[in-house]
Amino acid sequence: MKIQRGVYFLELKIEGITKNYKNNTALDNFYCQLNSGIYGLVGPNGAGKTTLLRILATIIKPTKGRILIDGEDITLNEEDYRSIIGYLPQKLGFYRDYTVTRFLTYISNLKGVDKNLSKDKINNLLRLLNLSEYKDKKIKTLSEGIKQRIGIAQALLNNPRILIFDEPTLNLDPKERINFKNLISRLSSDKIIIISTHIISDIECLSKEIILIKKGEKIIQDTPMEILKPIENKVWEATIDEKSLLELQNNYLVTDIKNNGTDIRIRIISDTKPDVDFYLTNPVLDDLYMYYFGKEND
Amino acid sequence: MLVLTKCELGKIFQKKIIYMALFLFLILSSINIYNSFQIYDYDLYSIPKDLQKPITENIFENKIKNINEGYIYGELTDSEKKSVNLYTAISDAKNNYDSLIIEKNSILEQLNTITNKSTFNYRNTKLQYEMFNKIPRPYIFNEQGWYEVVNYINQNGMLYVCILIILGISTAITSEYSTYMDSIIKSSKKGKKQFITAKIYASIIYTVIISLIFSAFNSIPYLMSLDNYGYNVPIQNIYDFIHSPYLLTIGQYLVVQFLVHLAGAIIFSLIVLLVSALCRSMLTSIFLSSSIWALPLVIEQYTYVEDKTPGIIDFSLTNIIKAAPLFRTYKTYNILGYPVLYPYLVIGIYIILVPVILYLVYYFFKNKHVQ
Repeated sequence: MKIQRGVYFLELKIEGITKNYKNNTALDNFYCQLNSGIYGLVGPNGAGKTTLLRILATIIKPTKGRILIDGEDITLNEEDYRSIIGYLPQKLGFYRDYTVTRFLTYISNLKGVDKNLSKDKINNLLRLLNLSEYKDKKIKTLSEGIKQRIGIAQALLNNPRILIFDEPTLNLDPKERINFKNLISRLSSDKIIIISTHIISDIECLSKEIILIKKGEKIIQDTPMEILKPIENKVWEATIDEKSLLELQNNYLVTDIKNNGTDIRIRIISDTKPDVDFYLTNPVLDDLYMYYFGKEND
Repeated sequence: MLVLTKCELGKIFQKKIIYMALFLFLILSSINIYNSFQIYDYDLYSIPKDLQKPITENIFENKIKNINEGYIYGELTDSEKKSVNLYTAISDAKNNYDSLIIEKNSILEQLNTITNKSTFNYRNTKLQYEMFNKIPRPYIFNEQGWYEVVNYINQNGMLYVCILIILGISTAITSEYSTYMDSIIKSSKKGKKQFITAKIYASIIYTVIISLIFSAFNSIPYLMSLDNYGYNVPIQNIYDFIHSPYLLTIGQYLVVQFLVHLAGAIIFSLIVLLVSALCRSMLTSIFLSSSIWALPLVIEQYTYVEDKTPGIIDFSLTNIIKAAPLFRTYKTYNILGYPVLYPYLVIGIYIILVPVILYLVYYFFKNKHVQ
């Protein structure tokens, strides 16, 4: 079966992907199944997120395993597969002397976008991402945030069915981050969108499912609600004084500290109640992140 | 593909350094041409219509005598200079003819001493004799002006074209790595095969353009000033080609030389593109490309002994780009007992190498680890 633009598919399967480098294994027998919707890929540095996304973007080949689109191995028709993906890499490249329009025109040529349609497509994307005023500016004169938006625009040029975003909100200010989230939720109805990020709040409300990845292996994949189950009734909150802080940090997994000036609000993950002042609270994804990766980050 | 090729060509021609180098080299070429026209009044070297033909004993006897009678010491008038130049042309043609006869007889003598006809030595000497035997008598001809046209590629032409290839192409793929564009490119539909194909086409087009610019810029002023007669004169009438066994007129040789030079330049540009696909650092790419081009020249400089260059130079790409070293003398290689002419062998080898080079360009770009 040939992958074709416009043909409706809903299933992307990652089957036993392993990627070995000389001295380490970046991904180890990674399995995953994705349908249309937004997926948050979460994990600490070196967990294998970028490697996985690069394999999905066909930039690197896995040592073992395969990726299937509606049951078809993508390597059988890699060019067709690439015509339905949009990829925003973590380290975003540009031709500094190109204007925004020239850059996007070049990428649309690379993506094989119909020449007659590409001009309108570019103008629409420039409007959508509030880039119209920069369209004739050279990229070297633009801020990192604007460049990041250009990066998002290039990923959308071919109206992709699968969007792969590696740290898309990295250089965006809070307002741009909200705009990005709005854009993504609008796009997600008929696309598979995979977003790798450190900033959990960016995907918390958007994601259909969250995939936690650690040392190249998938720990868990579930909806934002279900994924919190392992830490249900384990997240405690209290207001403490500065003296108790150090002791609690030494003895418990602290997921959040907020200093109000006079006192400190602290969140802790613990199977048992740490102290009489603590009360149970609803877990959030930040707690989950710390639950799985907190000790590793230390 | 056409659109992508235009884009890649645009990237090459966007480099300011190319225009600076092109401008500088055209200025240098202009100075050379200007100096040459200052030194020689090419009109004084033209040969009268009735003598535009191969040398004969008759012409030699009659003309030398007449010219000798009119020879005057001291400041010469233009007419006297013309006579002196004609005398030189006739005299040179006669000397060249005598040398050719001696060379042919020597080869024939050598051939007759070889008894075993199934040896490489016999076949080689026989081929040499057959080739030299076909060479016509030298023409009455002054090489001034034509020498500059014929030798330009061998000297400055090769230098300028190679430098511009290095400046234009050595960073063609490297820059995609260093700007981190490779990720976006490789993830796009045409970002692997067609992208590299477009780079290859763009490199070839660029090389053809610069080769044409330099060859045309240097040749046109001479060709406009020189008598058309020179086109039909055997290449052996140019001093550097006096021992050439190839049956070519200067006009034919100019075409062959340009095509060989162009083929060499294109192959060099593909090798530079390969180096570019291999290197992440632009400086490394420029250094390696320059070394591939300059190393044979350096080796030649330090090992040159009476026209006997080491094998590595014979098979260097620099020799193909120069073109002239391939055609100056009779040189063959023993392939399974049969003599294969040096230019055929060396061009053949590089033609076989082209698919390998192209495959490696695709392979290295595709498999280069992104950062």
